[in-house]
Amino acid sequence: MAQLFQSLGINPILLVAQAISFGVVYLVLSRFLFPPLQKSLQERRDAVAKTFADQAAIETRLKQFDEEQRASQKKAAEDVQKMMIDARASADATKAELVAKAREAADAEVASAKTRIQQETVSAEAEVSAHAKAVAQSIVKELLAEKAGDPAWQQSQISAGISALKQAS
Amino acid sequence: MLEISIKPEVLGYIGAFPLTNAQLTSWLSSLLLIVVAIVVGVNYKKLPSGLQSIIEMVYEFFQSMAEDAMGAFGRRFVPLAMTFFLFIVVSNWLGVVPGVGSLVSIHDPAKAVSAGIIPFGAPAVMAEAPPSADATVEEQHAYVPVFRGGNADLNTTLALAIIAQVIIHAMGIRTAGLAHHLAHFKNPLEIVTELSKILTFGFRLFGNVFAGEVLLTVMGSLVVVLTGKLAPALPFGLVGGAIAIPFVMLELFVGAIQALVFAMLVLSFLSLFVKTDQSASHH
Repeated sequence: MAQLFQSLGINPILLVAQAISFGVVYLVLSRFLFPPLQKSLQERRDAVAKTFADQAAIETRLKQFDEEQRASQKKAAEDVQKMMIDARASADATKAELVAKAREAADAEVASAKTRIQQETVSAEAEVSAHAKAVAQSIVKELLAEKAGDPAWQQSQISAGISALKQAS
Repeated sequence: MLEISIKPEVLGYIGAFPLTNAQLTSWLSSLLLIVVAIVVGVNYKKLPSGLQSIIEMVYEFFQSMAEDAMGAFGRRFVPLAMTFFLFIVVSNWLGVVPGVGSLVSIHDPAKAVSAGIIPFGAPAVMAEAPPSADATVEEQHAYVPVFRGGNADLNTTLALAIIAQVIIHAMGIRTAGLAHHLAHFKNPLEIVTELSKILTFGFRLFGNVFAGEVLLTVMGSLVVVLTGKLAPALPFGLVGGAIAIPFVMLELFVGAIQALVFAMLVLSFLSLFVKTDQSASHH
């Protein structure tokens, strides 16, 4: 065994020396290199995980927002529809009311016009009859005055009157 | 002629400690790793760039692997796997850097020159007379490379393998309890399996890296020999270097793959014995 070790160059002192240098390297690396490395890798891993989580959250939020928007759009469309229906209904009502009012007003106007026409007709008839009476009287007066100056007419009249009296008696 | 030693060569002695070329390279790569880790760690940026993003990528790779094997509980083992990976890959790549194998420490100037080594500057000062019994072995080398890939040395790979196995079983005991952990070894063959894992861990890595070093050395010198024969006027060093490029690429690839395999095996063996919070039993 010792012969084998000798010919392979295995020397316990060197073996231990190499083990010690490995140990020293391990200690130095564990002290200086690995802690910042592990920390940095962990931080990066966390950051990537956070990014993914954030992305998922944003996507969910976006979807939610989209749905909300769609819902509000739908609601707005319905509202508009409803408002239009309401407006149309109220417009119809207003129109009917206006028409009724107008018709009423027109009827009243017509009625008042009729009464006025009647009154005017009555007064006009009265006026015309009065006027005609006056004209007739004046014509009679004039005729009477004209005939009264004529002795022949007087004579005839008198004779006519006498004959009439004769007949009557 | 070429000298390819399966053993790391001793450059000199620090007290009783034999400083081998593999040990030296391994220390350099550890030092490099430590400096880079501190620089990156202290200047850690929120938005990664350059080296930091590569390190994060590798870390995340091991993290996903540990999570696949052991769930979120497996995350605590990622630093260990990552350290194995970095320790091995930096050491492997440092061994492939051109020049790492060609800078030599001359022990016997006369023999070295006759072997085609051109002395540069003063003879190596580190090569003192070894005080131990290794002396007879050492004297055979006229020159030795100053650097050698850290994992082209069984001491390194076996040390890593032992550490891995110790941690795997310690974690098994800690998370599942001693009784539950020992239940894995009702069949004595399981103990053999676990011990052999040390060998497979150690020799797989050593074999790949050592083979790579051999391949690069052989290709480099083969090209030098061939061009020297066919076209003596060519600057053979350049040609040799150019032709070695594909093999260097291959070795960079192998170096990374072996580091990855080692770290992945540590994680998967851990998952055999570690009791995670989610699951009640194993096997």
